[in-house]
Amino acid sequence: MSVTGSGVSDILGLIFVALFGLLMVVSRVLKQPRPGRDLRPLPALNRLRQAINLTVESGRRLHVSLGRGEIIHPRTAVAFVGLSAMQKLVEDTAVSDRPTIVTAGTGPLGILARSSLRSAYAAANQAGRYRATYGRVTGLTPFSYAAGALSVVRDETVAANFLVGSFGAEVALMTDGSQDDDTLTVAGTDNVVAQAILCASADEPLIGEEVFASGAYVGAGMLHGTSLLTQDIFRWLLIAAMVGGALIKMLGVW
Amino acid sequence: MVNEMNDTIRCPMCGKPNSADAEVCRYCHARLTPLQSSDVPLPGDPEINAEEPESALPAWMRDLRDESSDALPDVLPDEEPDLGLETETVLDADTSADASPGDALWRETTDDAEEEGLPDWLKSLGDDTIADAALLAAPEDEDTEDIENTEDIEDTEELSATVEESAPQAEDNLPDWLQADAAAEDDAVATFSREDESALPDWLAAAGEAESVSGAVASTGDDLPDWLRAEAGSVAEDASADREDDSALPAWLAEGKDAALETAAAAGLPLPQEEAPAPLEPGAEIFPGDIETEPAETYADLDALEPVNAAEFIEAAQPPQPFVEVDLPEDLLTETPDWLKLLSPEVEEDLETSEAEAMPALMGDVADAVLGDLPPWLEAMRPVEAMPAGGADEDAPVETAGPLAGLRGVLSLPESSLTRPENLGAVGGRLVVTDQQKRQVEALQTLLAEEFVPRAAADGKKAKMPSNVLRWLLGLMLLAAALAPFLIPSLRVPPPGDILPAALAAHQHVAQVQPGQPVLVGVDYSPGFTGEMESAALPVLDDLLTRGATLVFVSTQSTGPGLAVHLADRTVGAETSHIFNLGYLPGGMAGLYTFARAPRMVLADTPDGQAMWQTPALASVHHLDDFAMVVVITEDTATARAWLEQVRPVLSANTPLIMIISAQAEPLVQPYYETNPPQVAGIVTGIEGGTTYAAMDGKTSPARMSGQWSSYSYIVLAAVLLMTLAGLYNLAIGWKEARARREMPDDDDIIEDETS
Amino acid sequence: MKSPFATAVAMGVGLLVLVGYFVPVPVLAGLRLLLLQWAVILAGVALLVGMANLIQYHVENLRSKQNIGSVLLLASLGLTFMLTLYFSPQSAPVQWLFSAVLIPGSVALMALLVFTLAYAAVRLLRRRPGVFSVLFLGTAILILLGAVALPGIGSLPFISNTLRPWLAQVPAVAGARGILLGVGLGTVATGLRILLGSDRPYGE
Repeated sequence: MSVTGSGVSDILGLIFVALFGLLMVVSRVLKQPRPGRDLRPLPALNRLRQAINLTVESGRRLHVSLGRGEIIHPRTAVAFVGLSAMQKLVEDTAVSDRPTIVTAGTGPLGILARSSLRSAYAAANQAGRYRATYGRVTGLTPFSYAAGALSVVRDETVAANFLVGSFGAEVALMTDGSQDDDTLTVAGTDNVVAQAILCASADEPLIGEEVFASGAYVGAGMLHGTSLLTQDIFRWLLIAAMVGGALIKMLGVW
Repeated sequence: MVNEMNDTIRCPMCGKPNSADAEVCRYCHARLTPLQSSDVPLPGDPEINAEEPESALPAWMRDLRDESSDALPDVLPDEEPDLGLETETVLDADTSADASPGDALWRETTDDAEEEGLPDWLKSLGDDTIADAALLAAPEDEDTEDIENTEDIEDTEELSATVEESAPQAEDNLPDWLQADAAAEDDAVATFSREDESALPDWLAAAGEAESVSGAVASTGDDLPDWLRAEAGSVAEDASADREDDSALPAWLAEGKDAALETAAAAGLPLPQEEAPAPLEPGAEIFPGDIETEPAETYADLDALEPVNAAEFIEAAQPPQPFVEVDLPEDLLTETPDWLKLLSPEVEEDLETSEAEAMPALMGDVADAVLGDLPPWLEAMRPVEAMPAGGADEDAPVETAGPLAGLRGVLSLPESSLTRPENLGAVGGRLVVTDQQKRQVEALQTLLAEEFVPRAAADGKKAKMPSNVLRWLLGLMLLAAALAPFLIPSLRVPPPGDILPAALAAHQHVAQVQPGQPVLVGVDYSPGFTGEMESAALPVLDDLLTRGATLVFVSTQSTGPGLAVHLADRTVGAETSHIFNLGYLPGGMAGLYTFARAPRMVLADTPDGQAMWQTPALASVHHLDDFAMVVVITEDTATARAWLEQVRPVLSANTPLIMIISAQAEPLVQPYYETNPPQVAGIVTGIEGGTTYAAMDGKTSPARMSGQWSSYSYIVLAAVLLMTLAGLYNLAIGWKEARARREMPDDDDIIEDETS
Repeated sequence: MKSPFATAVAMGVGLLVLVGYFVPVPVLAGLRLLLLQWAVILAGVALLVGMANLIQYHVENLRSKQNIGSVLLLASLGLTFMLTLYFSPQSAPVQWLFSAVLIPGSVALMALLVFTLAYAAVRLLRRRPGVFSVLFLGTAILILLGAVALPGIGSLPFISNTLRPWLAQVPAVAGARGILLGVGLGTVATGLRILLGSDRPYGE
């Protein structure tokens, strides 16, 4: 599925991916970044952590929504981040009186959500508390999914909403529903339109790639932190390439 | 060992004090007083006359009878409890082949003893040396409760082996080794009566045997073989070593020990040097060997004792009695140490009611009592003799008080560290409360009191009213704005004057489509965006259909085929022969990729089973590039990018790609139009684009488009107006609240104020 | 403990498709195409799985809470399914259901966004009063004004033909482009984590 079809771009792409992976692994060996020390503070995730602690104490629950990313689509990536972060959060709240509810907008995401929930409960030695209804598909179209998730937000004594995935404009309904019940909403997406909506309606929006950092901040896995470091390195490289290319173009060199 | 001060007896087994009247130790149930001979009445034996001539009794027994005859506590029950003891268990010996000769002897003797009592040689001996040996050689019987110390058993076994070999012999019934020493039997120092020995623990019996051995050695002297003489000497040494204070031993035992020493000395045996006994360590046990024995006269008195049937003795043996409360005589209290008196209940009551200043004085009295007046047992533990002669430091001061009085070189404590109560601060029950603590207590009390004070609940309805009213107002305004252009045509607004270049380009490309040419239309928007997307797409589709193009719908979304039919039904002049619906293309980007390269393979027929590719309109289409145009209708930028990335590469310059998108996606799709060469041939954006296109084309109903455009414009204007006014209002309130929050003291500031 | 077999399959398939994308070897290209076709089939089946998940939850909901919404959902789902099986997806009854029920319902929810977004924009200034909130709302208002025509005036000059296009194409697109680049990097990182077996959201 090459965009340009030329051999040079393929080779460059392969080098890019290989370097990225290598740097991720090497960074893991050299240094594991730690939130609060090596990673810049993200108030959204700090508030989420506080809210989760309060949900357990107050007898309410956490709601995680994974969006409606297709399984064979780049939008799936942010859903996977949501799954990893969700798994870690559910591990921490497995003993809560009210379990975490995970909603999804597509069938594959619903299956993955259940699988991750089961793993999280098993990791927390609470396998007996897992129920299949904790992970559910609320709708197969964008607005039906939003309406179903809205019913979870309003009716299931939710204290905090963690919306991380691929959303569209329908996310506004979900965030609006949480406003009336005084619940915290931390949301992030890869969709630019949804991000604009979340900036206005969510309590703590995750802008841009901050949603991809949520795994590192909640301690979802080994390589999450080093992925952030690698992303930062390549971001600087891209900035340099863009600025340099623009200068070269301006100067007429190339 | 009788404590003359308190009239208590120390148990020879465990060393714990018992009443002088007790016959068995109340802790370990060892016999405190030796059993009397047969002419001494046994408990529960009514036939025996207790009024025996006292001359037949040993002195110590006479003394005991005189002292305790009137005050003998009735600690022993009249009836003997049945413990289920069997004489056989005591008398059974190990019949295995590994049994020692002593065991065999025991078996020979005990069989007779069961029926006829002791054998004659044993009776004639007057002592029970063999019986003791047999007893000692007998296997450990768990029922013999007199034996408490297993170490003593091991010791006694060794001694018994020695005794077996060296015990004086009887006459003809005795084994040879015993017969050889039968002559020494008469002169041998009798140890104890058999009754006493069987009642005494084995260690004590062994000690008596040791004495008897030493006595036998003393009497026979030259008749003893050298090895026996050495053994007797060692036994004598053991008996005299680690001597305890005479006052701790029963009189009869102390006399026996002295007698053993005297006889050993008379026999010319080396006597152990008298050394000062090692100071007793706390918790040290007093072993039988530490106890001094009684003088010889005691043993001579025991010669007159007759042996007692073992079976009778065992029956008469008192089972261990449960602990019985005994009222101590009042005079015991007079012997209480002073320091103990101070802690009597009466004094404790006084302490509770007294003021705090009395405590130090009282504690001072206690300290003086402890330091100044030591109890005898503690006094005896003072290591005065242990100090080396001359002392380590003659210049060192001599300790004058306490257990170490008279000693030099004692580490002296500084005066301030002495635990004298008067040096301590006043330790009273008065709490010192600071002002801060008082404030905290008051705050806590206030909090607790407020818990029970009912508070009026907040009126939730009242709080929700403003937000609901605002929402209703917003809704009504927007609804009015939406309906007004349709209800009042004069309120309609003119169409957009400027035509966007992208829309113009799209119109130009559509104009190049020839009749009958197939056009691929990708319907990839969600049902919620139907209003905007239909407004944007219908003018383009109407233009295409009007030009005679064949529309082929395909969708990568599950709702796409239905939307395609809905869209097709709303076009102007639609003919079913010119519209085909390929249906749903699964797989997202992967599906697009494969469809772009092999459309016939991926979607062979329509969902209705119609062989679309065999129709004349599509017979020439084998690749995506064979289409005259590709039109993508979507509201999502990601979907638009997917079509651009997966389908555009397989399209040639002759097949333009037109995008009909929502206004929200325009900023991100516009750059694709502005590239060189442009990847998107034309863009029609939302209602504005559709209105503009319809105005250019003129095929879509102008009225409808005008109504939609006007309604859209009025709604947007209403929203802008509301947002501006309400926004300014909320901005003012928000700044005010933020200022109030900044002026409020922080939690940290409150804590600092309290602590300062 | 995650299944090692599932991890091995995920890693192997991912690496094959990735390498096959970059390395123009016929064998790899053929394998990649085959695997993608399998993925397409699975994606189609995933629709049914999603429907099954939906049914399972609402049946459980019906059993425990006797929720009327679950009753309606299950009834409508069953009715639509039966009609589509009996007739055809393109038949008139099914199309009528689609056009008369599904589309209007979705459009109605979409229309709610107008109130929701307007209300959220207004509350934004109260929740987070500041320069950026004012800038956010001001930009939104300018864009909206540039997109409409005033009665009697038509399009607003300068706003509709200069300011709005500049705002949409320069700051907005630039910001969006930067966000998309970051999202792209995050997507690469996420994909590589799955390829390396660090993230395993599949199976147990």
